[in-house]
Amino acid sequence: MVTAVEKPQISWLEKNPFIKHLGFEPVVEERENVIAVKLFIDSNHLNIQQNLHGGVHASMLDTIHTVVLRNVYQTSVSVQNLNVHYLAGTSTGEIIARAKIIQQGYKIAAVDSEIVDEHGTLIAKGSGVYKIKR
Amino acid sequence: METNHTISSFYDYLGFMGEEREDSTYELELPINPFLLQDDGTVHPGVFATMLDIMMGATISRQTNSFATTIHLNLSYFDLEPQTKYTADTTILHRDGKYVTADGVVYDQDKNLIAKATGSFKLNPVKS
Repeated sequence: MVTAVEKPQISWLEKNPFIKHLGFEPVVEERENVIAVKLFIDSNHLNIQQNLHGGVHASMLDTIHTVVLRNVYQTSVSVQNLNVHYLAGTSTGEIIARAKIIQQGYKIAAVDSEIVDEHGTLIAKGSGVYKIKR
Repeated sequence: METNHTISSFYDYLGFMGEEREDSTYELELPINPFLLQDDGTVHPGVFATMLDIMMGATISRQTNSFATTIHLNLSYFDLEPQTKYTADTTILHRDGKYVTADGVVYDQDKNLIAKATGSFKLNPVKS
């Protein structure tokens, strides 16, 4: 469930303060030329129950949606709607988010995504609708 | 057992400030810091997702004396341009046993609607 890109452009991520603050790291999975976003969970990401905070999942899913869309459209995008299903709790280790564009319109696009942990357990599912800034 | 339903590491890490109102709801404020912004100058949508998740979870937890675990969030965004201050509010729509549905809204300093969420939560009673 991923969207492959020809020449991944991720330099803008270096200039994104929020993404840096949370520690999201873009990775290009070269085998399939797919961009993913990785996070090593630390204590700052946890909620009062010492689980990954729901805001981190939502932030990560929006980030991978934006990364995939910006690579295809080569322009910035703006979220209209974000839907998040929380499927399993986690509190340590590395998680990775991947996304697939499911509708690629001229001014609107829809994206489907997921977050898995290092053992392949599905942590969260997401989808989003984005306005393309043309 | 007195439980502070809002404070967590991630809450502090993003710079939220909150207080409980007399009616057992919470008022949550977020001053805009540069690290909440994106490269195009807008606020990252994850900031409002976090704010709404904290706000809805805290209000439900306080009113049910339980921990509220988020099962699902559906978020709509209306304006991501940075404003000076944000506040959030929650309405509990429905409770069926261990499951609660709630609405949350974020407003800016002029009471303009910034983001809205509907969420489903599962209750886990606080052990005393």
